[in-house]
Amino acid sequence: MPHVIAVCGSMGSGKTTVVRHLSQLLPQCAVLFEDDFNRTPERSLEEIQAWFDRGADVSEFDLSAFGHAIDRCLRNNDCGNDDTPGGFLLLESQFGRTHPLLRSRIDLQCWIDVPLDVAIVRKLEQISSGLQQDRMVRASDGLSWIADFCHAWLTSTRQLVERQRKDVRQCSDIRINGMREPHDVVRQILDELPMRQLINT
Amino acid sequence: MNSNQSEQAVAGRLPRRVVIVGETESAWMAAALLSLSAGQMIRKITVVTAGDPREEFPGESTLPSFTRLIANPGLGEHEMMRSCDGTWQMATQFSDWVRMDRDFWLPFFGGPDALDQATFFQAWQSERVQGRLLRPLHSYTMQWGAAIAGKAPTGFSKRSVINESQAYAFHVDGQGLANWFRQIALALGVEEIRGEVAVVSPNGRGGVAQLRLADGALIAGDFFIDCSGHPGVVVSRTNGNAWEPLPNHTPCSRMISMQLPAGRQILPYTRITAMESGWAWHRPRYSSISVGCMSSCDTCSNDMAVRELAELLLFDGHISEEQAGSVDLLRESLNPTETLLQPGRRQQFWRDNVVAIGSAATVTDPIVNAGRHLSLLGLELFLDLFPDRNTNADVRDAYNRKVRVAVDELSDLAALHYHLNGRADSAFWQAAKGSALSSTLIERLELFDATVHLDVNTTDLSGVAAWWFLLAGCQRFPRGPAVTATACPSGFLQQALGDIVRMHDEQLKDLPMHEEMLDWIHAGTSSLQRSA
Repeated sequence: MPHVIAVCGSMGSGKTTVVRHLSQLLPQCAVLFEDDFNRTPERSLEEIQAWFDRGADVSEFDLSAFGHAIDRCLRNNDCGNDDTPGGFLLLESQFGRTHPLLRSRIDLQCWIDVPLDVAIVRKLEQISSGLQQDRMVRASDGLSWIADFCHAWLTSTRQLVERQRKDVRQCSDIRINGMREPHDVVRQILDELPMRQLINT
Repeated sequence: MNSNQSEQAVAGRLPRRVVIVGETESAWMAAALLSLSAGQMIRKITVVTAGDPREEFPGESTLPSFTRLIANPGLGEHEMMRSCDGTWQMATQFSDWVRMDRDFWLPFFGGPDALDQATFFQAWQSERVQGRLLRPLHSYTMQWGAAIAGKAPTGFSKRSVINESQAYAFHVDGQGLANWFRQIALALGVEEIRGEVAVVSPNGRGGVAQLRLADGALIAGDFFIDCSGHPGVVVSRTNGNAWEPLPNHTPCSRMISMQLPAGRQILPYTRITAMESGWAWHRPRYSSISVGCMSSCDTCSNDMAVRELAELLLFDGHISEEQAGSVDLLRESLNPTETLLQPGRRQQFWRDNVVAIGSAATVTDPIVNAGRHLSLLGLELFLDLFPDRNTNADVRDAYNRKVRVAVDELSDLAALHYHLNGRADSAFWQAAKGSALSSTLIERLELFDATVHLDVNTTDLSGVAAWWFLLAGCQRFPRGPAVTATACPSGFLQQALGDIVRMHDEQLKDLPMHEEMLDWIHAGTSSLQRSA
């Protein structure tokens, strides 16, 4: 069976970059991104706030499609074969083990830690750069988009990210300083693997 | 001789009056247990107290031995929890101990103890060393799963695997716990006399004939149990029973503890965080959180330790930046208590007609959380060997030997925590790493490295598992896999370990959230009312 490694972190922590680097170094490696299956970003601010007020139970977020995709990967052994103890399935996830559907499926969980101010600035940078490259978006629309993002941050996203930093970080096996260069972060994850000697990087 | 005559003959030899000295948790636990177990055979049990019931082990929670105790008739888990602001503890998380940003967990362990021919640990280690396993050892316990999922160990109407194994513990307020045992003891007819012990009169055999209190009252007894806390009001005043060091040096000599108000989220586990000057604990109770730190008077000042603890509390959002920025303000608002720790043990725990229980008998490093466990172990052993009025030297020797073995083993376990730290970034951790180990601990480690076998005396599965999880968590692995594990059929261990994870995941779904269950218990609703 492939080994399942979850890379978690708040938005702007650089987890996507780390997952991409890592997937190139790990042998027989498949990658799944939770965002491709998670509809959380489509929820309205009011819905998010109501969820928070109810006690912020992460199991309310339906990740069953993500769970099925993971199981399919493991079942089909997409990442390797039983005789080679080298297959890996990399997950980029916001919830990690805090979500009941992922808890038993994750073998090793890494949390990429960045200060909140860095996370928000990185995200704004990413949004601005995306808007600049999109010729169809007018400047005023772009600014309005950023204003909406800032409003959401102040009203709900911030507390969500703080809760995530507390809970997901707590149940991770390793915490990595996300201010370091991506290849250093990747090296630290690789050093954690007990089958390190079997991985030819 | 008929049975009545036989009972009278036994009762004739038993102590007529047992005097317990102290107002600690151990004192009232001793009074309650003695009354429950032998109350009908002893004419009088008296507790001499110098004040209100008080906490004895401030930086500690309980161990599963305590869970087994309160499952006995006459006691009760929910009543106990209500009395002492109790919450469940499923595991302990160690952060930054092995090195910065690396966690490991010490969950309580209820099995399975073996997979085929191999112990659970041997099975995991064998798979790990062969590169077939990535999951950490702790993740194969349901307790760890419950801890990170924030679940209670039991359902409202249905017991769980964790319940059945009794491999869990409690975060408690020690004063509340002492009060609870006091109420039980008094209801069973135990007498309480308030007064300071002024004079301890020897009986000429190394024991005690009577006590004189400050108000002049004389308390005679056939047997005396000193539970007055360290150094022991009675034992410290009898000649020839010195306080001696434990087999391993502990680097911590100062404890700073305080209470914070609880938040809505109540973690069912303890957090231990290594700091530069020592380590800090975080034990959530129902309406408060016990926090504090251990440090060494040799390597840092009191203010430095408080400051570092404040930084940690600020990071966790427990205190404001203003509080964290000023030691004086923090002292004023949170009133931290400082205690100097004197780890050690009595040369003889039981001497003639005096037995020392609790911190009057031994003080161990709070990192192993063993204060209440050792009190209970001493009491249970004492009850097993319950003496007649002419106490037998062989019985005393047996008691002293068994308690010493348990204390020394826990001293080894505490020393192992410090020995395996990988910090080396401060004077405290360097000193901790460099402390000399006892010969028994060195032998245990050599045997473990060579054979995967852990030569520990405890028969308690949770006790052995504490060594497994600590060694694995700190990445101290034997040189190779155990033969018993490699002899298992190929794929069997992988399958068995995978099945454990899947089974736990299924069972966790049925457990309520920790806070939900606590609200129910602390509201005092009985199960009958709820089902109605």
